[in-house]
Amino acid sequence: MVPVVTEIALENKDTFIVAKLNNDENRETVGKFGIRYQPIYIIFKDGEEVGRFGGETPKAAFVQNVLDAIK
Amino acid sequence: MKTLTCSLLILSLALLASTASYAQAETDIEILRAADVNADGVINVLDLVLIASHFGDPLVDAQTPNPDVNGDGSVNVLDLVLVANRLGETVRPPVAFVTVAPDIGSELDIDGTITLTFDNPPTDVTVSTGVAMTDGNSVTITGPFTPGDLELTVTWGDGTETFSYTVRPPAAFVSAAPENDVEITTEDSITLTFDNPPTDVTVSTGVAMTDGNSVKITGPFTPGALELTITWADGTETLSYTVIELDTEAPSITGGTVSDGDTDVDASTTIEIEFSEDVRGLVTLRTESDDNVGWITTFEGNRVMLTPVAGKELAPETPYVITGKVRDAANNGTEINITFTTASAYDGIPIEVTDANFDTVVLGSKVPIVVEFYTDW
Repeated sequence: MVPVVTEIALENKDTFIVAKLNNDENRETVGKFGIRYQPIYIIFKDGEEVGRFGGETPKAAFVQNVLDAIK
Repeated sequence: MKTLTCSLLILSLALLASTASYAQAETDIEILRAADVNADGVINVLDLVLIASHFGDPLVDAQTPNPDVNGDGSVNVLDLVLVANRLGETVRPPVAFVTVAPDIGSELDIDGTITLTFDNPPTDVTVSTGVAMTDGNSVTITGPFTPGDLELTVTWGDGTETFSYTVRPPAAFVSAAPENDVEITTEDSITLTFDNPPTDVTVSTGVAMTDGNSVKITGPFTPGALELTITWADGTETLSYTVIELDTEAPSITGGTVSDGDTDVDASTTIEIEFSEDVRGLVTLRTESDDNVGWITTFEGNRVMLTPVAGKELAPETPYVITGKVRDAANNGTEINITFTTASAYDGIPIEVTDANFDTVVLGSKVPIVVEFYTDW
């Protein structure tokens, strides 16, 4: 999955940023957002969560999920 | 009895005088005037009658007519004899001053003319300054007079008069501003300077206002070539200008590398703003809190350049303001206020976030951001 996310990040760098957070090393943030399974992707816009999705997500669906959330 | 005696006396004196001379010498003009008791210009029997009628009368000082011809204090036969000796002679009347032009106290040019008018042609006219020419009842006095206060004394056969004037120094052209052969606008004014206050100033174009040694000429002037001729009492001067339309239009932004409201502005290179015409002024790059970033501002023709300075780089995804004011050659001003946001430093490689920077990097991002919460297996 990592290579796919990397591709998505590069191909959409002008639209959104992709960031990664290690759950084991950042328990405070994990707890704050109630992360119970992984991987999970949370979309933020202007400091607010505007969407989240998880599991094995095809590249096209990944991008569409993000675009739908930030439009 | 007195009347009869006088009549006989007058008759005899008149007969006696039938052989009297008619010649009039200038030297005895005062005697002749005294003998012309009724001041009609002729010495005749009427003067004798006037004397006779006042025989023995008390005299009053400056009595007119005065029958005491010889001025001995009594009216008697001696006065009759004096008149009788002059019977038939005419007497030139005294010449009195009537008017002067220009008015006393007025200003004269150094080559000015003063004209006096008398009630009769004056004789033996002399003047303290200038040259006097007599023509009938008039005397014309010409200079040159010395600049400053003039006390002019005119003396003639029957009197003297003194007139006061101020003689104006001649005015010579010194300079013009703007100077000759330059461009001016339709609404400009031209100021001329003289070494002395000029008089009678006229201009071929515009309106002239004189103030001391200066003359201000205002338009509006017609666009194109202007030949401006200034004439004053002492000379004339012609100046040439090219008149252009007055520029009332302020410079406007026509392009550049950044516009108000732009985002994703590359913060690493020179920012350029282009105007509709050449400008000058003061423009700075500032933070939102109005701190001067310290970039170098340069003006080149119609462009303003803001050049980065080492150590004063712009932060990514941060708003900045280009602010200031520029003016064109006609001093028309335009306020500049361009707000832009620098581009993200993000290059497409997923960035690692932590508890420590999550709020800043994720919640503070102005660009949508997707965070993958993952676990290393």
